[in-house]
Amino acid sequence: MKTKACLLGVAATLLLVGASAGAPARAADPVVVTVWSWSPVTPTMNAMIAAIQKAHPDIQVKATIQPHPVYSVSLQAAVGSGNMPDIVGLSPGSETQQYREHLLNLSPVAEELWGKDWQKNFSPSLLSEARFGNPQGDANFYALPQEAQINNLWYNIPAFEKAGIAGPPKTVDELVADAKKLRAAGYMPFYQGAGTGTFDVWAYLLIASRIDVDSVVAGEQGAPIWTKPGMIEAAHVWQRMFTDDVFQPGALSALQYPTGANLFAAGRVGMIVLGSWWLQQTGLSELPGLKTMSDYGTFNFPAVGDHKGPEVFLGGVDVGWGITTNASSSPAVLAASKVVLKEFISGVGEQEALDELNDLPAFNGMTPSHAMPAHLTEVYDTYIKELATAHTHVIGNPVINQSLVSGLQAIGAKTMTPEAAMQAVQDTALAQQKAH
Amino acid sequence: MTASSVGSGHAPAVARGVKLRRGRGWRELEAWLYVLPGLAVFAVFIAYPITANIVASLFGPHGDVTMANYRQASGDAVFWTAMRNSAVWVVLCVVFEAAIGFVLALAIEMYIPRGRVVFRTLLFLPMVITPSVIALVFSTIYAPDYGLLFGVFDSVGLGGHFPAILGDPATATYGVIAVNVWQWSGFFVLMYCVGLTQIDRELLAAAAIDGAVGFARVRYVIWPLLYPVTTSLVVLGTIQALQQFPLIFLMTEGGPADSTQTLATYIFQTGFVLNEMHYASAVAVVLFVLSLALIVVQYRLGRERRAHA
Repeated sequence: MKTKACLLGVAATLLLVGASAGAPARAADPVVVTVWSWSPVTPTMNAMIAAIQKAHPDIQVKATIQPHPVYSVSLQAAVGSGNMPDIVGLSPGSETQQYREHLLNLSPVAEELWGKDWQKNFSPSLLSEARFGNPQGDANFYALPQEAQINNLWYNIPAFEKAGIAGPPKTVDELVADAKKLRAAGYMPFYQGAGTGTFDVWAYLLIASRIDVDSVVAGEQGAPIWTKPGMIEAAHVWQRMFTDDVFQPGALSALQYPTGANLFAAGRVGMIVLGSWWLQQTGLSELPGLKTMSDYGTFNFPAVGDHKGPEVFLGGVDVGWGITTNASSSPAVLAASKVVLKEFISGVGEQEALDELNDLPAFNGMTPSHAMPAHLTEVYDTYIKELATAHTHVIGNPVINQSLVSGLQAIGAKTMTPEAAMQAVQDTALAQQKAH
Repeated sequence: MTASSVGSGHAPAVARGVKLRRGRGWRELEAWLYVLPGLAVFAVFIAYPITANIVASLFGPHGDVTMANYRQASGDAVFWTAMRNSAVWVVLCVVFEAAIGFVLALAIEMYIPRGRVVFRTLLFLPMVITPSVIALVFSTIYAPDYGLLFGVFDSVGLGGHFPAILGDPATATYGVIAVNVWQWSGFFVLMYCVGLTQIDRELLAAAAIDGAVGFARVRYVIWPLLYPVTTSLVVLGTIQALQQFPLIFLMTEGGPADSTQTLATYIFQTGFVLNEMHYASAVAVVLFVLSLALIVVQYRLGRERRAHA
């Protein structure tokens, strides 16, 4: 009995081995590339991945998109556990610098992908921002931009018409007057999610750049310029947004996302600080006014006082991508990661994102592949022109950035005067300069 | 000792002693084997992170060992705001949650003859709602111009006087604390209900005969009998108040102007927003020491009160 069972077992084994030896060889499994980021939004990322995998069936992209605060924590934890993904989304400045030792130098990678003159494919301001915070003498790129953005103000055209306002304000006094008219017409004149630090900083920098853009740029790079007359004047204009009831009541407790964006999309707000990424609403909303952007227009922060110089545009890298040192542990994964990076920035992936108007392309020459309504085309083309000359919108040092957020909120809460608040930011900038 | 005496079952005393010691040794080993998994979990997930955090707090940004992080905290105005707010959170949350919990539990157990389970369940429901949903809903409730509370004010002609609760540094912390009290009072109700059901009814009847009725019964009989429950709830409430993060972060992000920062939110901000991990570790150590001290004090006070009861 035992012998019979043994013989049967041996026979079965031989059959199995023979069957597998005679079977045709399985196609090689696709190389898996893991990607983490907070942007683009999940539907856009899914479309990008589908396009990349269609073009490269030997590559499988697994992406995890999380809200930025959650993403920051996840990435820190991944560094600690040695489980970083292959490609990471990065904001320029402190976020890229924080992970610099875990990122590959992309300069030779970029040369490999786009040739020796690869830098001419990006605007100088975007490349400069991508290297924000690099140690002195380090000219490497640790992240390359996929998408760029312009920060400015959006306004609701029907709301303006109903309030009897011909067009966007050209001066701060006009802005205050228009706010009164919008409020009388039943709208929130200017929604500011002042509880969201990022948008406070952007609003302030938009104001300050109308007065002294050189100081703004220097301050973003860490120079202690916050008590210069132009910066104090900008702080007073910021204060006026609260005292003259331009911002809605309770602005300091309001969040730009999701509340501000939802109210603006619902047509309840006259004006709001947003940026070029708002164009993605054309793909995310079914409302006719949003699908074609026919109900919405853009403008820059109005001229301040006697400062009547040319308009200055603020913007920069929206999301950049870095390849981690984890990816280089496998030649196949590294090669696939480079392919995905190229597709994200200048290939089918970026084309998908562009077609959804997720934001503006960082790679020169890329355009949406579908026709757009006239108004939408006009807004989009204006953004592309502004991007070519835009100054950066990022304060490189997060400690100075946070100090500015606290100061701006204190001004709005009337717990600090503009002078005192800007002095506090100045003290922080000086301390940071000394520490580094 | 002879072979026959060993074989016959009458083992000499020495042999019996050896056998007994081996038996006890094995039992001790067995006990350690049962405890080991729990100890391993404690070591890996509690002891090691705490130790690593303390060590990290003693390093500067350039890898040097230094007390600079603690010196920085001592001169940091936002740190002291966070400390003060953490203390306010502990006091207000524990006092109000205990008071509301006790009063409601008393009402349910003593004065509601039917449907107690329904009341307990309804009051416990806020505990099972995700903090992010609560934060979003209450942010909208508090919103001036379009929130629910504003609507109530507006309906009686006071819309123009509605305060921006979360937008005013003077009221923002209390606004968030109120939400926390709303969420956690149900837990206190439940615990007090359990405590009240364990009080011997004959004791209450005897107290009534002696003249302890109404408020006197609550003050001199029921409340002292619930000291153990109260002590545990005060400890749990303290821990929860010190740990609270999602409500604050989602409702105010620590603002406006850092006025709602607590130690928990400040640790997150310094560690993950400002990328100052070593400084964040120092703040975390301060929070750990503060929590430990508060709990030890509370247990000691509770023990003394029980001893004198």
